[in-house]
Amino acid sequence: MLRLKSLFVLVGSILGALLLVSPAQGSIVQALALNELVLHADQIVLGRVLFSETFQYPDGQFGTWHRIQIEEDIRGTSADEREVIVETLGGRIGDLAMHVEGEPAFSVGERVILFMRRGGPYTASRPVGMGQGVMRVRTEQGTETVTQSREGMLLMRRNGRGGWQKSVGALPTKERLDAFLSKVRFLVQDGAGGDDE
Amino acid sequence: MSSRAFPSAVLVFAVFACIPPSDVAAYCRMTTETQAQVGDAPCVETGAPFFWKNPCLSYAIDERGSRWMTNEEIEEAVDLAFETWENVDCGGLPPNLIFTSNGPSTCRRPEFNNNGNVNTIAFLDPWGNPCADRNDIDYRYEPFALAVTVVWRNGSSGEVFDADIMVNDQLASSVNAGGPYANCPDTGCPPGSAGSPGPSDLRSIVTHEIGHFIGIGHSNIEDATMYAKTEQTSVSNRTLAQDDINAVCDIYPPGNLDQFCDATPLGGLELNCETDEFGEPVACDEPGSIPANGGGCRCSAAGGAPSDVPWATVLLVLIGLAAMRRPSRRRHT
Repeated sequence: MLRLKSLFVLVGSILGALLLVSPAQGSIVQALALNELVLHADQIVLGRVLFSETFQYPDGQFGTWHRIQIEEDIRGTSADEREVIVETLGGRIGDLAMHVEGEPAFSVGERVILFMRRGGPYTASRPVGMGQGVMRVRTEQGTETVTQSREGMLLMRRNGRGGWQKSVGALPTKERLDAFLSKVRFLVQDGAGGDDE
Repeated sequence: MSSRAFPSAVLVFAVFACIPPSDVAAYCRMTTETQAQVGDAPCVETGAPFFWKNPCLSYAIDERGSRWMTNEEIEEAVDLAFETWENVDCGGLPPNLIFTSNGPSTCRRPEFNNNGNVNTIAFLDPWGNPCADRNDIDYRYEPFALAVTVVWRNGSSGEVFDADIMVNDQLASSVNAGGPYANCPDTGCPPGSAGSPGPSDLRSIVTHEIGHFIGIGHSNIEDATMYAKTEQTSVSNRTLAQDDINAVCDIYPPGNLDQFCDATPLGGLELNCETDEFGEPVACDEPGSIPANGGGCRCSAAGGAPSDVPWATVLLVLIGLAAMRRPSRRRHT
């Protein structure tokens, strides 16, 4: 009997602890479902971050280029392209830094799945939906998983009545890398349309 | 209490002691850390937290305003949003934080330079590169973002030099016949419908962005302005929750600033960032001069700080396992 009670309390304690690690959200961005991420992405790759370098735009703002070594092309990369540059707003030059909450950060050496759209005449490719377009690959107990980068963002979505509503985004919980890639490849082949969040 | 019940009691106490009450600080601070956040921790816990050395601050709204609201409506919403943060009650005293309106600016660029500055609040259409043609595709700003706050800071210490709030005035203009923003009544914004979305409350949006302006990241307390509300047709983000109040009171505890303090931005006040000293337009390829000296967030340590969460989880699981094992040993003795 006591064992059963203890088990109940144990489960309760784990749930209680999990309550404390609810994800945080910040800047205000429209949430994109996975099919929308695919739809808006001109280029999708699995790759590894080689290095990041901050530069100054002609109008004084800072941007950062992140060089990504392509491991697998899922959409939009030519056969001879081995690397891709992705651009984010903000960065640091000397002792001055420009910070934009919600822009994704990259760590050299980490593996990521990137959903990118081409920039205009003045910019390189950028992640779709700020950090939403960056999925981080981690190896946990021998299993490769992906999680969506959502730091600094408050993801919102229109509800059926036209109002804004909190959204969990394209990847609410971590998934196995192989399963996630299969899903993305299917959406790419399927034309990635629709609006089914 | 019997000895058999003791482990369970300890466990129950441990669980409830670790669940934060509504007034426990759980906000994050923006920090200088630029590496990617790893794991499920709510906050980036490394780097120096952002702060204003002189929290006597000023702001100015771009005089070209929004095509969806009058300048008077915008001014009312923005002024009230700043007053909300300034008038917080930190145990009977206000925080050491003063905001002064500089009147209208002519500045749609988030910038910081040594020729004068302004903390500008601007509505951008085109959203993105202000130098680009409206029909150009230029995605420097995220097209799906409603608003972004750009903070200029010291690279290592986290001291904030300048902050600019950019609101997406091009957002969904094709489907928002009445505009994406409005000064909604206290009862909430009109909900709209799927085909004709209702507006969001501008004052709520700006109140949230001012949190970033003063260096607050986000919170994992659901009723906080720095968290996502479930319904953005509501106007509840206008009102700060206890967690937001804890944040501003902890970062800017009551001090000696008053309404007569010097709110001149670093480098001097320059309300017009689009013409030079001769009144000529500053070309888009001629930025102001950047001084030579010049994300993420860190959880507060008060109460059940989120930074303690992984350890709390481990501790609770270990206590639970111990409670399960103990009766079993007894039965064998």
